[in-house]
Amino acid sequence: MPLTTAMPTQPNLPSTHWRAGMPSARKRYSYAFLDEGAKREIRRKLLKAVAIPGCQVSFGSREMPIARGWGTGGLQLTLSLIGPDDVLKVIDQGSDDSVNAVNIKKFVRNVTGVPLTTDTRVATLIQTRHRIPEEPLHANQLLVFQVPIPEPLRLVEPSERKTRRMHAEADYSRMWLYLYEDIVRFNEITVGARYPVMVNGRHLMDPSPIPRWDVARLNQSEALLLFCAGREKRIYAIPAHTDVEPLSFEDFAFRVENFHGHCCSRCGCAGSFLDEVIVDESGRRTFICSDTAYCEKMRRRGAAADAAQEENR
Amino acid sequence: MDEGMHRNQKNYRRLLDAMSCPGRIVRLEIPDGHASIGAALAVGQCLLDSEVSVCVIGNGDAPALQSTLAAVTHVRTAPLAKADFIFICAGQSLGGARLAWRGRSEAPEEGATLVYCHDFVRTGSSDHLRIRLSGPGIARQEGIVPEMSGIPLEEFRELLAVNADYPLGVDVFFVRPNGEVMGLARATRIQVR
Ligand SMILES: [Zn+2]
Repeated sequence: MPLTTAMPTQPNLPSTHWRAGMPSARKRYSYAFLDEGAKREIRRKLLKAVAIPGCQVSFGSREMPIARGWGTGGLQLTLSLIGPDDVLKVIDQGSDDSVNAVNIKKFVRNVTGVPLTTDTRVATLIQTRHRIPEEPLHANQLLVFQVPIPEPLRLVEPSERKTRRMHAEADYSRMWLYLYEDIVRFNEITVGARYPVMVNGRHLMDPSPIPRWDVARLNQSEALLLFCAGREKRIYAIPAHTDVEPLSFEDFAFRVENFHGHCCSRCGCAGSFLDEVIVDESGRRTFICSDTAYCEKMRRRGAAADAAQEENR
Repeated sequence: MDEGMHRNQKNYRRLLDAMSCPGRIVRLEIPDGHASIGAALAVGQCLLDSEVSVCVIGNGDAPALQSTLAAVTHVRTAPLAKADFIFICAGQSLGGARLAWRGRSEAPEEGATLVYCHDFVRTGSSDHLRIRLSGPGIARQEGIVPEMSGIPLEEFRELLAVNADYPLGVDVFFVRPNGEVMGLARATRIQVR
C-alpha cells in the first residue's frame, strides 16, 4: 500500500514540522500510520538486531510527517511495535514536556489511541532522545532510542564500506588509537555523549548521545534496549542481561559525570543525573534533575514525608 | 483484516520476547481453522511477505504448510541454501539446518531464520536437561535449561555447528502446535553435556 493512502483523517498536529509532508488526501489511516508491509520489514530486521547484539541492521526507512532529525527512526520503530495493550511514554533529554516529546506522543496517540503516561513505572513502551529514565526499568518494558548517527566508527572513518569491513573483522584499533590520542593530548577521554561501547564482547556500538551516566546503565539492563536511526536507516539492539562495556584504558578508567556533591534544588535528590541551569539574570546557577517525571515524583514523595513528620509532631 | 493485524502485532511482540529471552517459552495466538499448521502459520503471517523467501522442509505437513504460507502471505519460495526463512516440519532438520544461509561477514543479519514446527507436544524426552543456554537475554551467568522439551539433542548439535562462526549464523524459533514458541538467537551460547 503506498504511504500516501495512509494518512490520518484529523492529524491535529500542533507544530509546522508535523504538517510538512502531509498530503491533503483525507483517507482513513492505517493503525499506527505505517502500512503493514513497512512494519513487517522493521519487525524482521529488529529480530535480527536482537539476535546479534550491537550489530547495525539496515532497513528501508519511510517518509514520516516530521522533519528528519526529530526522531523519525525512533518513531518508525515505536509504530512498528505498538499495540492496543501498550502505554506510551516519550521523553526528550529527560523531559516529558518538550515540544519534540509532546508532538511525538500526540501523533502516536492520534494514530493508535494508546494511553500516554509520564510515569516510567507504568509505561510499556518508552521512546527517548538522549536519556534513560532515572527509575529502574523492568523486564516487560521496551526502551526505544532515537539515534542521530548510528556508526561509532564514523569519528575515525568516513567510508561506509570500510567501517563495515572493520565491524566484520572486529578491527576497532583505530577507535582505540583515537581515544588514546585523546588521553595524550588532554590527559582524559574527552568523548562525552556518544561514548563508544563494546556489546557482548563483539560489536562496537554508538549508544546515541546519552550522558556517560546512562552509558554505564546499558550494562546488564533489565529491559530490552532498541536503537533506530531514521536518516541512516539503521536498527540495532541490546537484549536484557547483555554485557556492555564502555571503551577504557587501565590508567584511564571510564567515569560517569560527577556533580561534586550537588543535589537537585527542586526535589533534593542526590542520586540522579543533574542539569545545570541558569536561574536569574545575574547568571546564578543551580542543579535540577534532568528526568522531570522522576523529579516530580521525588518532590511529591518528599512533601508527603514532610507532612507525615509534621503530623507526628 | 483488523483482527489479523492486531493478532500479528501481539504475536510479533511475543516473538520479540522469545528472541530477546532465549530458552523461555512464550505463547502465540493461533488463527482459526488450520489444524496442526496453525502455529507455524501464525509465525508466517507475522513475518513473511513477497519481500522475503521461504523454504519448507521435513516430513508430514511440509507440502500443506508451503502452499498455505504462499497463499496467505505471498512469500516467495527459494532453495534451502538461499531462503530467508526455513520452516522445518516434524521438528527435525535431518541435516538441513547446516545448509542454511548464514549471512556475509559485512551483513551477518542476512543469515536465515529457522522455524522448527513440532507436529505434537512431545513429552518424556529429557534431552533438554543436557543443554545449557547462556549469553544475551539470559540472566543467570551459569546458564539455564531450555524450557521446551522434545527438541532432539541432534538439532542442538546442528545449531552449534551452524553458529560456530558468530556473528555469521542463523536464528531459531521452535514452535509447538498449541502456540508455544521458544527462541534461540545466534548469540545464545549452547552447551551440550
Ligand atoms: Zn529533582
